[in-house]
Amino acid sequence: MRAGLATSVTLHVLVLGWGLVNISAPASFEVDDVEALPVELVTAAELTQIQEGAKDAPKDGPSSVAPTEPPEPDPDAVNIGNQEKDQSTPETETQKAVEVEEARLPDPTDVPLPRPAPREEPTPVVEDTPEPEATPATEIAPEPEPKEEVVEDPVEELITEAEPETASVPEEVTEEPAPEAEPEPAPEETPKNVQLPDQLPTPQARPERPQAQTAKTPERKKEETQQAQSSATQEETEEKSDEVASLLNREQGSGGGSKANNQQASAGGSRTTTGNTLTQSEMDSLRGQIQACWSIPASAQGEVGLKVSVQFQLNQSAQLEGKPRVTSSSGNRQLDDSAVRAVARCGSQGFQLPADKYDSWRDVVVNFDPSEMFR
Amino acid sequence: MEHDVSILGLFLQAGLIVKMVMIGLLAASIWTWAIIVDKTIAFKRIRSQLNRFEETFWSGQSLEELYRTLSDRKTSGMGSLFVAAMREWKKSYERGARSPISLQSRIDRAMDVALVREMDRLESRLGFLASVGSIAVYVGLFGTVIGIMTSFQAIAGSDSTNLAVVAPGIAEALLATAIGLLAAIPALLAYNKLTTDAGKIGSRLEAFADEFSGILSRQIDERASQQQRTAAE
Repeated sequence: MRAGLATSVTLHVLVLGWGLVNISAPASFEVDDVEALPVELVTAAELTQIQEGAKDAPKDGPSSVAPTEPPEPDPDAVNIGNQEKDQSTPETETQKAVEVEEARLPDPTDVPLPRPAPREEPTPVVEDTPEPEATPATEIAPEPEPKEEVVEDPVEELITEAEPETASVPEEVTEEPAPEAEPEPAPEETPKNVQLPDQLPTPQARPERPQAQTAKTPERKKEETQQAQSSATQEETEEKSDEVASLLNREQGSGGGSKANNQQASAGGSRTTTGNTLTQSEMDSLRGQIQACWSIPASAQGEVGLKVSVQFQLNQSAQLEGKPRVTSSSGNRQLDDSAVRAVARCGSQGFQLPADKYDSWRDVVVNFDPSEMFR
Repeated sequence: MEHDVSILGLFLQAGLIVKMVMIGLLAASIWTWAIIVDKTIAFKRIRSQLNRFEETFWSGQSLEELYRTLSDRKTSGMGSLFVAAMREWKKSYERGARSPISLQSRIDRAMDVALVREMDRLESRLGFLASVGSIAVYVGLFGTVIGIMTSFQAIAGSDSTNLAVVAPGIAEALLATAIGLLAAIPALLAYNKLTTDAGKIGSRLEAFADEFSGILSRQIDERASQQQRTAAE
């Protein structure tokens, strides 16, 4: 017995030792880290049957999202002085105030008395005058007036000298428009004086306006249109997300669409609130019916990639109307013919199809694929 | 928490009851194999002894001589049957027993006793194999059930139904059933084999006993008729 026990123990030790070494731990499965996807089951019917809803259905909520407002028209571009950029509205107000001052200043010019005074004292006046004159001269061609002033030599010389200065210092233009008016009217004499106070201050400021507008308003408009577009696309995406949400919603769609328009909430279904498309099972049924009538020619058996599309019309009792025709041939003449024959054979008896969905199966296109018959 | 899924790791992680079940089953397996080895060797030896004894017995050697050689040493199998019968025979004649019928019955009983003793020795410990063969599976199953139960209790506490949490506990529980089957299958096979072997040897012994009993009764009858003839003369 001792021998038996000894052999048994050694046997067990050997087997266990071998097992511990060789079958110690099975290699663990390699598992990819896949994040869990929340899956919501939506039946095909729910997706295919969703419609706008019936006309008389009770309203489910507000009929539309906030009404869209037309974008405000772009404000006129405003330019102060020689500044290249348009200024915002508060600055234009200040400019207007300045203009008003300009308008007041000419008042004394109406009175002929002060005019001679500048002539008598050319030097001080000239120092002021060049600055305003410079701007119109560069920008507006049809101002002949300075040329008339040329009569006075010292003045003209000074003007030409002063021009570079004015170009470099544009801010002064607004500050001293009054003195400009005084030298200019002088050569033209009284009849023009009446017009001058109104016109003169304005051209100085305005000639730059049209330039600024032509140059910059298009850019602005683009920006604004872009903004408008982006806001429009945002609204669109919101609409789409609403639609997706309504598709995922288990509740049946009823009156009160969520589209962002102010029109009627619901278009209303014609007859039923169910979709008018064939469900998957109905399509399968039709497929099976046609398949039963189809005998595949020997030349096409086992071939892969052959496909025939046959189009045919059906009447109300689901019987073939007219002749089926091949819309896309497989290239195999016999297969095409067999498909047409299958449709003709089945169609003469009439298919089993839901009568209330006639709209969806009045015109049918069936794809014949012999490789799928042998699955 | 990373689990050691090697067999040793599973054993060490198991609960106390499951561990005890596993150890018990392992011990049973060791003992089973010890018995299997022991019995196989013993049966082989007995068979060869039987062959040798039958050869010498039917070689025409004198039974008295054979008895003299065998009575000195320790015998087994047929030898012990032969020795038991011959001893009874000798004793009866030495003491001058008269009745041949009672002598015959005494010799038979002596051989029966010897036969039963021999059969006992042959079939000793085979019962253990039968027990292991039938019970080890249930014991292993018990360990598994306990292990799975405790692991499910742990899962209920941990609020996670992830398979990674469930798997190690079930694996270590299933180890108990595996060990149980590992012990039971060879035990059952060996039990069936060894009992048939023991039965064959036993029937051979019985056949020898019957044969020897017949020889002895013929001797008794011959001696009785001889005595009657001498008495008549």
